[in-house]
Amino acid sequence: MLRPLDCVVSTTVETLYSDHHCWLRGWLQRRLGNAEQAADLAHDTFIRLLTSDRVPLALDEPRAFLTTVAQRLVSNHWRRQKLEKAYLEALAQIPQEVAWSPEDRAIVLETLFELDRLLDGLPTLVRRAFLLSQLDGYTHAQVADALGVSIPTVKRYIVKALQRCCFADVDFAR
Amino acid sequence: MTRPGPGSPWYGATRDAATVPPEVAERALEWLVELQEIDVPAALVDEWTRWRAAHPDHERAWQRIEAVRGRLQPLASPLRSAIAQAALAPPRSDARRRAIKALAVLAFAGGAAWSVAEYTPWRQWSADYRTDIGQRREVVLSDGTRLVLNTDSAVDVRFDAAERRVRLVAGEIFIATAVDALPSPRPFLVETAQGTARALGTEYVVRQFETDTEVSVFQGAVQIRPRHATGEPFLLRAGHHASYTDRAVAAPDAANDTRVAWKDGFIVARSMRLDDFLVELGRYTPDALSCDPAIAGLRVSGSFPVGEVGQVLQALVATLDVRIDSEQRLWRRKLVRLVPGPGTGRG
Repeated sequence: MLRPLDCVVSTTVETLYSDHHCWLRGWLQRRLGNAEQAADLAHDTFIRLLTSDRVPLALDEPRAFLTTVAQRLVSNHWRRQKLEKAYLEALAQIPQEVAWSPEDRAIVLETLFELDRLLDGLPTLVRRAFLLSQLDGYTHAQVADALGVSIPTVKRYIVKALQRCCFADVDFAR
Repeated sequence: MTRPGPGSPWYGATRDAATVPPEVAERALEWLVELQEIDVPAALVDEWTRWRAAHPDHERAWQRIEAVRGRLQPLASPLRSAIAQAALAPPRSDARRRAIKALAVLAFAGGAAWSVAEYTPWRQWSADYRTDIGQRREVVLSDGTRLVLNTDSAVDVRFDAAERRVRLVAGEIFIATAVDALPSPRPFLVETAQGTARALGTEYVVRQFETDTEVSVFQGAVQIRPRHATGEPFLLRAGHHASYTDRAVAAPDAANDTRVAWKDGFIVARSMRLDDFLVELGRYTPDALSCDPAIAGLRVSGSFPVGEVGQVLQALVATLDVRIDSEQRLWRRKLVRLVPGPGTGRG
């Protein structure tokens, strides 16, 4: 059942959709150079708005608002494309005999997308400490050796990266 | 100030951890890092167990950490980690170059790097294919050979121009070999700590125990070569089962289908001693199963689903006049002990 406020919100998104969907698709196509991806991302933009609780009730600049949301999706799209390319390059290095099934490849890629998103913005050393310890199974001393920092620093780095991965929805600055 | 993000699709069943106070979340992460030290003292493990039990928020935070660690599993092996690091590093960065180099080492110098590795618990974690406790997994290798991994097992797969080698690092595997498509077919070998078992057109099971290896052959034959034995390899034919150490092969006995019942998710017991049965059943659960010596010799028969360990224990209680004595939590494990039931006289 919808509460009255939900009705207002979805009406706003509906209006935005009917008035600006075609325009947004054109805007996206100019950025992406691909009609199909533009249609997908335009669709994703409205889905994002429908499931968000932060849509203002009255919009003075609806197109500016839409492009802000869409721009975030576009950056995200490029980021994923870059990551996928790097992933495929890395996969090309391993011998055929280590046969990964298509599902396995897809699961690894999805895991990488999410990990990349969660670790975004962390310093390189923090990321490396985290990956060596949690994925390679390095001991803290081995990580310290590899990165040329002290063991307490290694532990601090790992905790910092783990905060992002495990508790992205908890406010540590509080 | 940094606002908390929208979370992650990884949080699924542990959404409620979003409400834990940040200091609890941080403490839980510090615990994880402490427990990942080598040689964790038992007292610290006890302290951690008490911490988890002290408040529901503590347990909620810990469950979230376990959930995320589970999500990272697909990236957890030297090979997978090197791929992850190459993909995640910025293009043209030192980190990217280093990761690609590590990959090349793993891929091409693999043989050497691989053979000096030790049998340690974390080796198991890093194998090319692995299963958790209670899990089964089927893998088809690039030559068409089918592997089925039983619970808590791990293998490394190394094929080159001269041979197809599967190293069983832990646990148990079923192998149905395929005919090699190369013009000069390469031998197919399963290596364990004790030696190699070479397939001659075969379906067979290899299981790694602490100090020996057991092989059961269902089709074709297998050549066993203990690591430190000299002379001709031992030929084990279809329908036979044998164990071997790194020096010698013990006299074979009959291999019946009950030894591969796990492939279909069952333990098939034929008048098996209760203590032996609990050892088998215990492979499929993180809990520690044991029994009072007074009832160790009771006989168990039947087919038992390995996916329902709790139900199997209840079935034993219902049929054997035993009861479950204690369930105590320790580290990740519950201790479950079977003792004589009410119908058994004391003394």
